[in-house]
Amino acid sequence: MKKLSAVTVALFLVIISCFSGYAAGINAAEQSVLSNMRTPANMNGHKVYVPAAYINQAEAHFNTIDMTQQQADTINGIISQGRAFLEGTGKSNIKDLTSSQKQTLLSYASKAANVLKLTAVAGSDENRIKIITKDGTVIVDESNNIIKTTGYSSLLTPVLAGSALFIALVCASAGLIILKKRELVYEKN
Amino acid sequence: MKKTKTKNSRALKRRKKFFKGLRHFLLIPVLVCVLLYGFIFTATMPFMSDIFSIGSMFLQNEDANYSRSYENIFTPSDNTGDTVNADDVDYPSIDKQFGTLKIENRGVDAKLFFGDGSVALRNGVGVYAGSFIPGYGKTILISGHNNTYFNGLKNVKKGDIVKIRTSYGNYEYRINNTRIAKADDKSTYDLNAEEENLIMYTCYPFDELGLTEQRFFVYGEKISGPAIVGIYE
Amino acid sequence: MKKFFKNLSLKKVLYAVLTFIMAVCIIFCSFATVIRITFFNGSFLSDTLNSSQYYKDLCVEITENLTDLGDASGLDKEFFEGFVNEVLVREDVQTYITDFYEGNKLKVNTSNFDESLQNALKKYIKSNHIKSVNEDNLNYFYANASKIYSDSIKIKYLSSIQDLILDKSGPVTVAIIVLILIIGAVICVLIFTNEWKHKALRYIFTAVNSAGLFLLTLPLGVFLSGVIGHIAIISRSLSDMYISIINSVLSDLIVISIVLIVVSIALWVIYGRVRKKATI
Repeated sequence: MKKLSAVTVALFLVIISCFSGYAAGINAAEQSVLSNMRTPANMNGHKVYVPAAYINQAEAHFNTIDMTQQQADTINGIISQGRAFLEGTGKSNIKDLTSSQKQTLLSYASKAANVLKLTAVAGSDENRIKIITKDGTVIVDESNNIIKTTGYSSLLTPVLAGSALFIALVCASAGLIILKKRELVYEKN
Repeated sequence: MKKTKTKNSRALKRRKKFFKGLRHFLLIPVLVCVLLYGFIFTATMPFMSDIFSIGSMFLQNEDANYSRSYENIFTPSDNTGDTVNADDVDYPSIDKQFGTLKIENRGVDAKLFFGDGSVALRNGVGVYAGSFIPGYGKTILISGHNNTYFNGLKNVKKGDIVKIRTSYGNYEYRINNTRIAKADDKSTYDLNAEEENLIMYTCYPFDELGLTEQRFFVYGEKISGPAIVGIYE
Repeated sequence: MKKFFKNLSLKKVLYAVLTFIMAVCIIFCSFATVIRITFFNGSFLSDTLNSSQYYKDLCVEITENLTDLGDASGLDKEFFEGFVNEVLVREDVQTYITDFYEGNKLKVNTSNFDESLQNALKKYIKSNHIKSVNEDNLNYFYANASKIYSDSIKIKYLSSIQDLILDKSGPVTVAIIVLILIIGAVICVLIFTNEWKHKALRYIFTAVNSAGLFLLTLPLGVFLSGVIGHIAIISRSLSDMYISIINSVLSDLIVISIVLIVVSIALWVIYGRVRKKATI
């Protein structure tokens, strides 16, 4: 079993974060998105999962938004597109994607981020992803280490081990994917 | 009459000259400028649209804020019920203080933050954003520095009570286990757990200088506090 | 409209096309010049950093990050107060920039920093009478502190554009020269093929004025939109740096545009005089 690293999960989180309006609880539409996030991608025979940490962040954030079925269908479509794209690359992990494939994912994600009024914070080191809303509220501030040392990247072998890879952020409504450099976790079956 | 006519025609000629000059000096260059924008935009559109799109992904509505202060959304709760509606829970975002954590007689009394970045750990203890908040019915993973707010964890014993206060309810957890393990040991936590469990951790050994690879984990089971209901429709 | 098309001749269309080409060449030449005097200029980045708050903010950020590391390592909050030496930081950043422009491998020499840290920690251990010290943990701490320092000195994204910048200043200069030659050729064609010299001047000042307006509206638009300060960058020092660079580039474009507009005004005045002489 292989796990997809933080970025992909963060992507899904970002989509969730974009919605304005507050309504606690996970409705059927949001549950469908969570289930979709739990579905692995099959990259060249390797099952790639979104880590539980990110699905949990998605769920926590779904409690602060009110997703309609239409929005959920859009998000699910984008998640499925992202999964199909990754599966179609024929690569075993995201770090092996070509520059143009990464570019495609990045342009997708950026258009989605713009529609959803999200901002990716530039300049983070390669083990950290930070995404905020346009007014500065931090939505995702994630490093690879679940068990921390100091609050920023350390020299410890990250929990999600591997070399840096690009992960697509799949966002709602615009159906685009943001690409970010992250680590890929592999767990052998 | 003739003089007036000559005067008027001269004024008219001057006006015509002025507007002609304006046309040549301003209007036509403005038109050319607009054409230039159109030309360059059209020529570079295939890749500029992606660049603009990606570029605007890094823009926010206001000037960037680099303040290291935090927002406190915690107000003490008097909820004595067994449940609290999800609608009544103000879910915290990262770097917000949403409660307090205390272990009586063990020297642990800290502000509780959502997120475990430097803002949280500098000012208190932080709930890992990939885990959940008290009352949610799932894993609560809290970290703190061993020489500040979680220094008192070295004194804890099985049976000690951890009190967490939030704006939506007050919670108590009984410590049932402690463990020393490496930071990258994934068996120390289960983020998929379907029952509420508290995990607090800090660097180990305590009171030692330097960075260590080991962590001291403290596990607790929930004994009281309102369960958040109405989460799943 | 009929009169317009009646008076339109092939010659006028060609002159209009040449005017357009000349305007485009002036614009590209201006951009190439700005790029040449900024990004391909070794002292541009140093001067920009010196004139901004970069070093001050960088020292504050390094101190904050080291303090956070110290919190996790059992050190008092005050350990790193006043520890970061701004002079050393400036030297290390300057060395990094020099290596960048000379095409050397980009790395940060942290030996001075490491030595200062180890000496400070030894004093701290002695003054606090700390007896039990694990060398592995300390070495791990030193490694992390060193990494924080070197990561802070490294200017983000500079290493990824080193190949783009290196050895490209020559081609950019050649491009500027070629564009100037094209502009010169167009001016010659306009002057020598036009029996009325004032009309040639008209085409020339139209091209120069258009280019000036184009180059003025772009940076003015960016400044007035206030978008520069809205870039989400992870740290204040990096933000200072990128904003200073962008402001500098945009200011250069504005200066060039003002020069072009002034030149076009001068050409317009000359056009008026030449036209008067031609009509007498």
